[in-house]
Amino acid sequence: MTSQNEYNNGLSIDPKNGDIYSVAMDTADNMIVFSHDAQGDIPPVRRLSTPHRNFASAIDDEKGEVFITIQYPPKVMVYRREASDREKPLRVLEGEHTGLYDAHGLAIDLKKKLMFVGNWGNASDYRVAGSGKFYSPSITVYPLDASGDTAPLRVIQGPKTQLDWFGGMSLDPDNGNLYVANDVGNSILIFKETDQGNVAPSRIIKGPKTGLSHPAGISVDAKNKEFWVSNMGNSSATCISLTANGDAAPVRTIRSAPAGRVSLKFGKPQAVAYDSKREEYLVPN
Amino acid sequence: MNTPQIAVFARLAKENTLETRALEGQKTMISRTMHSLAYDSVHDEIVVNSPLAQAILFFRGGAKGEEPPVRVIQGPHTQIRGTDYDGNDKMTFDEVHGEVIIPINRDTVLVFSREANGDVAPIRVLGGPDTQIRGPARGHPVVGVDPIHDLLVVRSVGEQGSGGSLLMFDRTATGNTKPRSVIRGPKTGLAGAGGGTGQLQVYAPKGWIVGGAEGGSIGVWSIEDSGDAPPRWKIPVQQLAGIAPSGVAIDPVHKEVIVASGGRNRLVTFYFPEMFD
Repeated sequence: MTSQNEYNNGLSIDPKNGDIYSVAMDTADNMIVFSHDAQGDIPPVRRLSTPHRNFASAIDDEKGEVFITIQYPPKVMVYRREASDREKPLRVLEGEHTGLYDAHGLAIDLKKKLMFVGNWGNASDYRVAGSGKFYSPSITVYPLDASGDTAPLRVIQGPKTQLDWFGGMSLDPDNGNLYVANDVGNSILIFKETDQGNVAPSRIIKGPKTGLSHPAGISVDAKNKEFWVSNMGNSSATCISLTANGDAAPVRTIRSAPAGRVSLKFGKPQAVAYDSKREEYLVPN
Repeated sequence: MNTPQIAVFARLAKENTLETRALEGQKTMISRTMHSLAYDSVHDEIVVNSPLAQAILFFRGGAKGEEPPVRVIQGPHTQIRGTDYDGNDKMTFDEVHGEVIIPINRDTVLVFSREANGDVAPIRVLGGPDTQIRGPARGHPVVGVDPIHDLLVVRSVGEQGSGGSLLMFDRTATGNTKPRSVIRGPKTGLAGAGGGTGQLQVYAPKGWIVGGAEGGSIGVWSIEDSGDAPPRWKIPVQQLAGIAPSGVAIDPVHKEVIVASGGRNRLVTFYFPEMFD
């Protein structure tokens, strides 16, 4: 309770000092920061209030900035790394030309000064009645310092991409490959940094040997040539080689449930309906 | 975190029982913030908002996996509008008359035919100062329907967002129409903007209105009530189960009231024969 950890969905590690940044959506609407060695039920070193529905974060340790995606109304907030309480962002990427629609994952490339944002495609302007639209999912790419209503430099979008309610994204700084946790697709998609349009991933990790089950979070470890995936579907974290392809087994697995156990994935059910024909409860997350 | 889904559980499921099926994925068009949904037993369909895309989705009753909806109401003619906080997250369904009822914009109720598909105008719009309909600051009022007594019930919040009222309209009321009757006052136990459920059920054979009440309770009022009428019954959910209700459904066959709690990540079922006998 003291840690204020709840409903966290995006973790980032500051490469400079190892600080842990955790964004928590919905019930908390904040980002809390812990020191690298923190453990137990201790308070965060700072807490920053964010708009409702935050999802992912990324840290630019060169400029000392932290990036946070907001699902809806979609935007990318950029704060000072040391921001706390109700501090205002340095800049915000938001507007009808941005191509942001139900923003989720976020990755930044400090070498080429690029920002990648994952979009699920659910769109509407809450101020305009009847403005709702469904777009196909996309990854939009911006200059790292983009703000305001800036259009993306390029967009990865289309049926060849296989994007399906994808969550976290992480970039290999050595070659710019973008690793995508493709949640409902039960796969990891790897795109080249220069990809655009309706392009197939250069590699897809998927299959029974992978241990992937609703992969939600992902983080590249360039030093050890591995990446880690958090699996919501079986309560595990799998470590996979950066060069893996196809139905590749993980290098290591950490589990918090017995092997083979399927997670309930029951999360914050606000409503219920009763199906009298089948005698079943319908429960939305 | 969790991705959106509509998970389906056996009625007698308990503790960590897995779902029998789940609807999820890009093709379903569902999104997070689904704060109400309904099952249409007459046509065997699931009806739910897609809150971030200003849409209403209809699925087969047995839909599962990444199955697309059979119909989608969305577009400029629909007038569907959300808020920055809740999107368009509320609805109720009248399976007798085949109508989906959607509160929008804090002060308006739209009615669509269940057969509507695409960019269609609502068949009725109820709204205006005389209606007394008012939702919370960044959300919407809550709606229920009694197809037997031909009543539309709207839970409206009070002046400061606390307290509240149950407004009863003719089911087919349109425009700036006054409610037929109003339940309002300190004895009513009506929870305010923060304490109520996002769903309101009406057990039409008996005329009972079932929804959130103060103190983390489920309250039951009568459609015959008006003024400062206390609930006929209260289920003290917070006291009994340690959870605050956020959604509610009823199962008349088994005489049960089902309560969802987002805050505690739980679903609890109460056997409550008094209400159904």
